[in-house]
Amino acid sequence: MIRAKRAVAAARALYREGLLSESHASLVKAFDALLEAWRPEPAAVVPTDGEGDAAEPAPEPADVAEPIVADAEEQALAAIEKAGYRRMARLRQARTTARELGTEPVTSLGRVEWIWAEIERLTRFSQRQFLTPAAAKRLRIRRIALAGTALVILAVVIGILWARPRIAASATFSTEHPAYHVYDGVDSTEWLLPEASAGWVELRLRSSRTIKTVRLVNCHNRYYMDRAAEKVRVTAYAGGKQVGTAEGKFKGIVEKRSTLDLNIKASGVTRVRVEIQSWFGRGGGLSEIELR
Amino acid sequence: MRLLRDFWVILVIAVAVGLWAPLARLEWFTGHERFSYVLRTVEWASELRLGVLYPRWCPDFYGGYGSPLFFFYGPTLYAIAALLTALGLDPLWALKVVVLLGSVLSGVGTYALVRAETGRRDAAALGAIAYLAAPYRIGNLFDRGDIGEFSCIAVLPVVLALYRAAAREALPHRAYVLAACASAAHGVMILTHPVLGLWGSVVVGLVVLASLVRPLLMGAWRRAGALVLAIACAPALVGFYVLPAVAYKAQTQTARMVVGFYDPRHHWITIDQLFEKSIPLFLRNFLQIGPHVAVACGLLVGALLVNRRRSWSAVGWLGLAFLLIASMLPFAGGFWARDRIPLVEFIQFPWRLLGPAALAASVVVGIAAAALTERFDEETRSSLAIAGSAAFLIVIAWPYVSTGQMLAAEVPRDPDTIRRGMYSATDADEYLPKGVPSPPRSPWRELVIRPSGIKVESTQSEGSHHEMTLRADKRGATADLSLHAFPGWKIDTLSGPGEAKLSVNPQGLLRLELPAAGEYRLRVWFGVARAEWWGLLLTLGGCLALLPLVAYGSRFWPLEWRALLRMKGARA
Repeated sequence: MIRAKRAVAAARALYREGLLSESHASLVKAFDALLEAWRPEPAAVVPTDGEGDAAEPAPEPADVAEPIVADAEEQALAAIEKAGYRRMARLRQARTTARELGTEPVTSLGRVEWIWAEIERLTRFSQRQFLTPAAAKRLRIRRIALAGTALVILAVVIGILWARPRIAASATFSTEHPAYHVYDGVDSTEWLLPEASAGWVELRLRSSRTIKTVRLVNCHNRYYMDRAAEKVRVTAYAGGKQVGTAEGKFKGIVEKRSTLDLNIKASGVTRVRVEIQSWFGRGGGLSEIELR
Repeated sequence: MRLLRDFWVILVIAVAVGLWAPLARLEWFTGHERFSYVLRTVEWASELRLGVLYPRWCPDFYGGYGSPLFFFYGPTLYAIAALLTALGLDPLWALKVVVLLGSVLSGVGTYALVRAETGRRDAAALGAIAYLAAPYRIGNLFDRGDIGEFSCIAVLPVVLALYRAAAREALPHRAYVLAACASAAHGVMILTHPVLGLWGSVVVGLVVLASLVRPLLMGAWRRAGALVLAIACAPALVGFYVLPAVAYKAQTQTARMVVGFYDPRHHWITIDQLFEKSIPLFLRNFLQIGPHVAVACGLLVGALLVNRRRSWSAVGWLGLAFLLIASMLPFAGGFWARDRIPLVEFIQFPWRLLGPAALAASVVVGIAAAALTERFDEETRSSLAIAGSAAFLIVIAWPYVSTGQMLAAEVPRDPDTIRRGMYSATDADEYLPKGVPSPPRSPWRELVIRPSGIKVESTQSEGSHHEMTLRADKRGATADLSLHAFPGWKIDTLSGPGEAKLSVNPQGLLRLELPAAGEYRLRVWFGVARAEWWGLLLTLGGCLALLPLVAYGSRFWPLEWRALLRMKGARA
């Protein structure tokens, strides 16, 4: 196989230089090397006849520098056919035509391109067939791992893009406190409203669901400890229709996790809006919204 | 993976990353485009989050009235940047990642192209770094801020490398697969920037034409045919973008794109200006391709004297560079006149062709260097390649590798800010729908305006999707919507006594018509316009046309199936 690969590489390089005849000769050498590789090993093949006696011993292997002999070529072609190569007739025809052309200069690619196509096919087929079990296994594992990784990445992307609710807000204090912080599962990230303003944040669900309780986690603006929501109202909508509402009040600005559970008990909910009607300190905001 | 073990490829990638690094250190940069790419990315990302994979409508431009900008702007870089933005990355960083990809692709693509021309890694690296160092390529980013054009000239070397590889490949199946890949890459190039995609296609066409000579002389008619098929299929492959853009151009005000400052006949340059450090148009003259081409010429002359056989092919590339430069000179003004050759005037600035010209000159540098140093030993060649690359970077590139900073706080990065700011992401309002006499002056406050016999119960808007509950008091009640009319708007009557219809009012806004009295729940959204379906058909046709190229000689080729059936029949 290595000789065949080298001959093919040489043929490609010669073709790039515009040397058509030389390229063809190199590909024919590749053809010879491939058939040589497919020829069964004489020691390994000890055919027996029907009575269980060993047949005549296999002939000595031919000198690798000489062209493959006719019966050895037949053995190679038989081995290729046995391995499941599909276009045997075409391959045989290519072999015959290549031999007929011999060392005749090739002036037109159109005349030999089909032979080159068969040699290329045989090279690819041989590379697949001659993989050791370990190499084939490694290739298989690599392909499965690649496909698996791609699927996982796709699933994660789809999950992030389209499985989670969309979040919108009336306003934000800055781009460092965007609305999506209320649904990122991280207490330390917060959505903040502009200074001394009421406002709202809305979760737009991908599909309708039943919600019993909405848990709100208040903000405190990290170590500044100067903002928190006070009075809040939660409204659940099914389409354009309001299906549940509840109001509540936080106690103040605290460093620890400060939660407020509001019972809604609504079904078919597609949107949940949380309005911040008053605030502590410099303004309102929320750390998390949990739907239960 | 094998590529990444090549020292020269790593060097090229390192240079590409290094030339991108100034952008990474800034919050955002002060190019001529300012933050228009950021606005467009945010619009795409917000539509993507709603489930629109290929948005055509920018719902927040013009204060929420919207703009059909994505019918006309190449989608590739916005799709990538918007995906990253929708996944949580800041849009500024998402665009920086796209720019980094473009920078690396420029280098690796040119490396592949020159390596195929010369067979030499060191010369390929020199050619690639020469292209990376080209003032126009760098200035396109840091001065103009035209990320789209920057991306287009990043994909161009990949396209040329693939077509050239297909033309020079001996093995048939491999050659046809390369041709198919070249066609696909060519399509991607068109999708990055429509104008330079068109002109890049002309450059690609010229290179492919030259590449056909050898196969034809060798009697390889099928190969030549495959290349022609591949290049013809490229625009068809991106029919889903090209056809709607051409079909709906007349429904916008794109004529504004080619008048006044944007008339290409006002943008010729002189030979002197190609060597000057500063010109009236640009204080830092990144059109300065003169030294680049001069180096290429000098190297080529030396190479032709020393090693004519190896350097002959560079003459064609240099000819291409000269042809492109000549098209920008004053005498070529007539070529760019309107209505003479279709779509020609949309180039706006003929000096955009300096990108492909710099690439051609860089290929000449690589080929000439390979020819000149053919008889040297490996060590000397490597040292000369590295020294040459360093010279290009220090002498030619260095003055251009810097830009001013724009603070992130100054850049609108969310839909609400874009809407309130009345942004449209273009200077000339060329994508304002034709029926709209002038841009609105303030953002809309209500979705449903001027109701006649209609009471608005509720409305809910999200991007280009709007839902409303209305009560009509009479038959034929109407109301206008604060949305610019354009092909693609759809209406769905979710519930109601009849089917609501959309039409256009004299101000170019959507008008709602309710056929009977009663309560209606309606959904109005920007869907797939008719031309998009035809475009998709064209894309499918292009894919089918390329299928024989990919399948030839593979196990999917029809001859294979016949043989397989014959085999199965024989076994039975």
